[in-house]
Amino acid sequence: MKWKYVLKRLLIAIPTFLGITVLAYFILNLAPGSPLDALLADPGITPAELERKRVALGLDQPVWIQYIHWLGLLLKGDMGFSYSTQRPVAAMIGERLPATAGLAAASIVLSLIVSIPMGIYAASKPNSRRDYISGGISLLMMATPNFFVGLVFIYLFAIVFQILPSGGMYDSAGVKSGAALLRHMIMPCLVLSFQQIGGWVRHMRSSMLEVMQEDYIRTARSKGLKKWAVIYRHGLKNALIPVITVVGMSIPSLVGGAVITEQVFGWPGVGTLMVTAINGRDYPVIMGITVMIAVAVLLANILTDVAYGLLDPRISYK
Amino acid sequence: MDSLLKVEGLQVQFQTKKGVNTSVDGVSFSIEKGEILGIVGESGCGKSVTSLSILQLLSTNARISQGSIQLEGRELLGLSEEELCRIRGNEIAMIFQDPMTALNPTLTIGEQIIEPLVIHQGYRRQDAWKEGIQVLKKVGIAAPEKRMKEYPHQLSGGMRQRVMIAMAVSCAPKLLIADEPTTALDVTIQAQILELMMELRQKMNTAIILITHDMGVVAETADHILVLYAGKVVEYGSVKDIFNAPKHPYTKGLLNSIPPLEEDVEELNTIEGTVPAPGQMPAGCRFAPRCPEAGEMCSKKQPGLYPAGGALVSCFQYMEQKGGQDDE
Repeated sequence: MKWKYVLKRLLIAIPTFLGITVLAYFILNLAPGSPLDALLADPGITPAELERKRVALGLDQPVWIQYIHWLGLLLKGDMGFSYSTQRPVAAMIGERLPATAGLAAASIVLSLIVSIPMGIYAASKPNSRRDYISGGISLLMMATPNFFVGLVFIYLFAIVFQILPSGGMYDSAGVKSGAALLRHMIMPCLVLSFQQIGGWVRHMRSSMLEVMQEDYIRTARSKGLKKWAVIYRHGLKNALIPVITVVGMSIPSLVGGAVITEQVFGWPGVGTLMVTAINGRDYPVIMGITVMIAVAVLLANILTDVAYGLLDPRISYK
Repeated sequence: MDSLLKVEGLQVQFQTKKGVNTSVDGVSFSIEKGEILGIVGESGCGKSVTSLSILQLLSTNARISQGSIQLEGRELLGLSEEELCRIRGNEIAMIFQDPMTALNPTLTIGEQIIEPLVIHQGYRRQDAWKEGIQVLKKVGIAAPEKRMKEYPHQLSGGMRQRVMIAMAVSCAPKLLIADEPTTALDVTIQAQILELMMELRQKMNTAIILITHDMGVVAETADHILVLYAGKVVEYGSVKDIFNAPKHPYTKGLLNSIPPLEEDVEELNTIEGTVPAPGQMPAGCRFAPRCPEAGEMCSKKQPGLYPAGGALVSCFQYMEQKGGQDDE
């Protein structure tokens, strides 16, 4: 039943996916600048050479032919070659994806672990001191830009206390140990989660407050359940339902590479790759990352719906 | 001997943006073992607030500012939350108006029904589950084993109210508070649910406070009636006394607005006007602005409760009969 539903959703996602690629491809080609700009920087280049390069890359063809050509290759699993490094795009993304996905997963887990209890705690006594303090902190977290948090953290933990590395993924010696990875991951993960936690705490709080007004909460209390038993047994599951949407929506942007955070910490993820590719008008790489983000968005949507069904028995899959 | 439940001078205040509103003021009544007390009145007259006060389940902006509530001589006001939790669902249980929203949509019937058994009777989960099936059987639910595993949305409204009742009576409470238990149900189901409650009272000798705005329901089931208007007791007495000879103009109005079955009527009888909003209570008798029998004194001074023919009535018409307690 559930698998049939997932399969159906996947099939529906195909036209959406194609639409995304069309839009991305044409908008990309409308943007000023060309992949050949990089070659122009070389003073020794002749117009004939430039023209040969243009033909070699297929840039002399109309855009829609280029698109069909690109799509044809994609369907065969070939994302093309980077204009600048000449390496296969799939391999380039493949190298970077684990770093980004790992960071994203860690950030989601951390944000959930912090924000759900904090939201519940704030909601357990509305308009009390604990509520206002948690509200103030969340607002501050939401309002602080990532790069700023990153710089402050680097200053504090890498320079003043010298307990965490300031960037990169492994030690400069090049030894790839799990412990080193973990140490390098702490700061980017904290920074990436910072704004997110602020927002999720507020969502959790308001959702919980709304649920606590429901009749079934009064019923639970009338049965003699203690306050926290009422909150956890009867409130939590219901309050999580709307929060799931917010969490689901944050997945794509995390997977698409938290560009700023990756830049600040020199984290070798997809975000950094995308910035380089856009600067160099490296169309195949940009399109490759776009495809990856599109897939992440569509999968995150399906995942959110499935999670809904797990929490709420009223939702059935047909 | 102490009454099962004795409420005296109950006053409940709500903190609002515009200030403090008194929504229940000086309500007193008592109920004996196995008895049914009907609390009647229009919407907004304080019925639900009164009933929620007994288990102290009022919302956080409400406060019981005065009065006493005694269960078998034991004062309930001022008990700690923990002590209240031992009474709730165990000695006093409650069922609510809308069975559609009163059950948790994300938990199965079984998970919800075993909670009081586990909390109060010390049942282990598996034993509680078996007992839960028995309780469901007792309230007339077919295939209880199957229902235990279902979610509330898979049940009809009548069935959900049966589940609510099952949950409430699972620990054999001494008192069951039913806050408009049939209002949200189809007429045919209403009768079944009332019948079920009567049957359970017979078997378990549970006293019931039945809150309703349906005078017909009260006439059929209750032993005593407490008529509330705008948070105050208007008339309090036995069903026989009140139905045979209603004294307060408001009670008369309520009884008059039941359409007669035998004759055709051109127009239904109503009581003109509406219940005054909290914070805009008239100075004198709160019913005076709507009262067809109001005199000069009524809009100036609040009446006390005066005994009249076995009942207590809050109307100046009965003040002459000595012995009444004045309100001021």
